[in-house]
Amino acid sequence: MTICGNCFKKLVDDHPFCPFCGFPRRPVGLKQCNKGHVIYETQQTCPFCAQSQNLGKSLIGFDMNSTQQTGIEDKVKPKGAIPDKTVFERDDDEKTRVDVNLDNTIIVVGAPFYAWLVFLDEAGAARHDMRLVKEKSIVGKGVDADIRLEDDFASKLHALIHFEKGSFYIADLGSTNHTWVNDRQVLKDELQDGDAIRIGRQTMIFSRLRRNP
Amino acid sequence: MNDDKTRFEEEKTFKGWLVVLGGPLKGRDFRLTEGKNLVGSSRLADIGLADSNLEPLHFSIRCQEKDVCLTDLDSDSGVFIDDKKIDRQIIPDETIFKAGDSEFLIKIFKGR
Repeated sequence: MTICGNCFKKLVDDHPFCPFCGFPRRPVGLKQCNKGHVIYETQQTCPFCAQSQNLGKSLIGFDMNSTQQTGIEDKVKPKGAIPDKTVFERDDDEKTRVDVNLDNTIIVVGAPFYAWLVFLDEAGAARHDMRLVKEKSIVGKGVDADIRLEDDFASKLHALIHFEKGSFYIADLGSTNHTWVNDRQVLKDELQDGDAIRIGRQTMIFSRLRRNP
Repeated sequence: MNDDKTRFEEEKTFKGWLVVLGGPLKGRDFRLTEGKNLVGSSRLADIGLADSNLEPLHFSIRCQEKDVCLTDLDSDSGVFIDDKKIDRQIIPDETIFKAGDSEFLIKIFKGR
């Protein structure tokens, strides 16, 4: 390919002068700017990065119509650039993964059990439920509790619900007003499906699948 | 404690859960309320499930005072309990059944 040394337009015939600007025809070399962009030898400013000083050495045999220019631009991208996609890989060591959907439903992947606490109102009707997703869940009114109760009669860390070897247990954590299961005070007891747990003034029904998935 | 979004609607009585034991939504559970609960892949269903092999309205679970009834809503692929296709059946607690690509279990809540 022959290029006019003045207007840089392509010359397609053997005319001794450029048909566009009349500049005498002569071969035009190529060179690189400091950032690696390939430009014509007669250009004083790189059109890609506007560098006008210290333009680099000349190139021989470089095809301006090839895709190499794009490749050079890619190479000069700053290190640590943000990739187009961020891939989050699941930690295989994590046994249980909990996701919360926009509709506030809970997805539990890999949990060894299905169990819920159903909170009752004063009339004994179901008010709302909560799925147990951890093998150890602390119930209380403190901010560190996994299941928080808005009840002044509950201790900050009131009781522990614990899953072990296919069974659920509840243990009182030295609470002021004690933990009650089916109207019986307990220090530690195994929970059965349908048991009524009372902590402070809150009554909740423990519900679980009899078989583990 | 759960926030207000998880509270049951006042006019509906909570009756239990539809648990997904297998399939694309494995690990999820959905609340069942008194009366008819329509289940399918449609957004119009009471319980909409992203299972491409479920009909838009595939089956219904009617929670009554004393029992729970599972009904196939004339679906092409059917509803199966122990590999037997069913049309309408009263089911006990923790019955496992299959529909579409999913395996379900119904857990009935026993109140006080």
